Amino acid sequence: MRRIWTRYAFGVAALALALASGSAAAWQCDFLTGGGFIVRDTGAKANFGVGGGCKDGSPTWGHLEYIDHGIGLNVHWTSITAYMEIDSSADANGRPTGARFICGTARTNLVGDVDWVVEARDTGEPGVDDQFIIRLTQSGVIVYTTEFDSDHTLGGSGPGGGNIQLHKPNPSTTGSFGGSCPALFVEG
Amino acid sequence: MHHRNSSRLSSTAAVIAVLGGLWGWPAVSSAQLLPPLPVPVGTLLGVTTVLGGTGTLVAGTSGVLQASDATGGVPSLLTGEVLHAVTIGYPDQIDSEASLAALALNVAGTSIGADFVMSRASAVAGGAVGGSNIDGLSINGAPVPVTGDPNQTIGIPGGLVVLNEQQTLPDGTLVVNALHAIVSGVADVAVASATAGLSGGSAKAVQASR
Repeated sequence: MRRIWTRYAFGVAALALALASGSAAAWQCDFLTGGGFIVRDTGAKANFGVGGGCKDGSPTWGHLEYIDHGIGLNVHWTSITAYMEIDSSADANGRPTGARFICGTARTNLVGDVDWVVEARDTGEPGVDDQFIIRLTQSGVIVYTTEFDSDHTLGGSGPGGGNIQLHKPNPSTTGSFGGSCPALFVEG
Repeated sequence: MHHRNSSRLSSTAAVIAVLGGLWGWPAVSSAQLLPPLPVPVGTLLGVTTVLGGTGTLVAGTSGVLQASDATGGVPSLLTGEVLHAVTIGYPDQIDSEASLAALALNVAGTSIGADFVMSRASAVAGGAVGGSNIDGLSINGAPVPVTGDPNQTIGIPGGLVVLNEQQTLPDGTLVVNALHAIVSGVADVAVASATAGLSGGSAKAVQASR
């Protein structure tokens, strides 16, 4: 198992990812899909559906739908720009587990167009310990994030629900992890 | 909170093994190019609406189909948000998944709500596995415990609601509907439907007939 980072701050993750790049053996690009809801520290519920992966040689397959009912934020993806490996492993049955960054652009109802990055983690079944974190930026400035909430799980240690699933590669995924992720590399 | 996950190994594993071969599914043939067997919903009703549908991926082909939307609905019947559907095909496997949140369904005077609904179906040579997640289910405002067992059935006026419905088609294809509400002659609504098997892979956030 290669664990590149375990904490939630995207800045730390980005640094770790940069340091790790080129040193770890390449894990063939794959797919991640999931849906569910997290409960913000405010008590507000935020629902999501997400997908990411490589298709036809490009790490730009996927989607993101996200609604935070606490502030009435609605995020609808317009493009996928990156799909990056954070760490990869397998459960006792050989199923892939691990975390990925999915990045893209989106249209929102509150702050206009944004760049976004999602960290989605599949910890295996039944999925209650899977994690979802999202950050939105504009011109390199964070305009919304859940990364500093106390709980990112889909119900493991508290409220939340859903499931995130890492899928093995298929022949259509020929290509490498990577792409452009402006929302991941912000100043701060 | 009612939060359940469930899965099972399809009892038709032997059928799939026979049809699909022991080492992988057969190459795409004319038989596989036939239209997939229909899921038996809405056959007596006039209009069928699909929200967040991937379309069908032919078994044995490598590819991936997706559909998503921030919100979706069928007027006077249901609303939902963060609609999500994916099907991924491999030479010897199909994974399908569908979900939506904030379900509000009103069928023939019965209101059905859920915080989140998801289904998944995965078929490989030799077996098929499916399951559902249902959180915060209520019927007419009353919380409903979800057992997680396949085909949990709840009676409603004029019909029924089936949770984690798992249907096996004659060719062994597994269809999982996280929530299926049927009121005879009025509406037939499958919420979060995932299909995987020799009939192909597909996923739909909603299929509603009325």
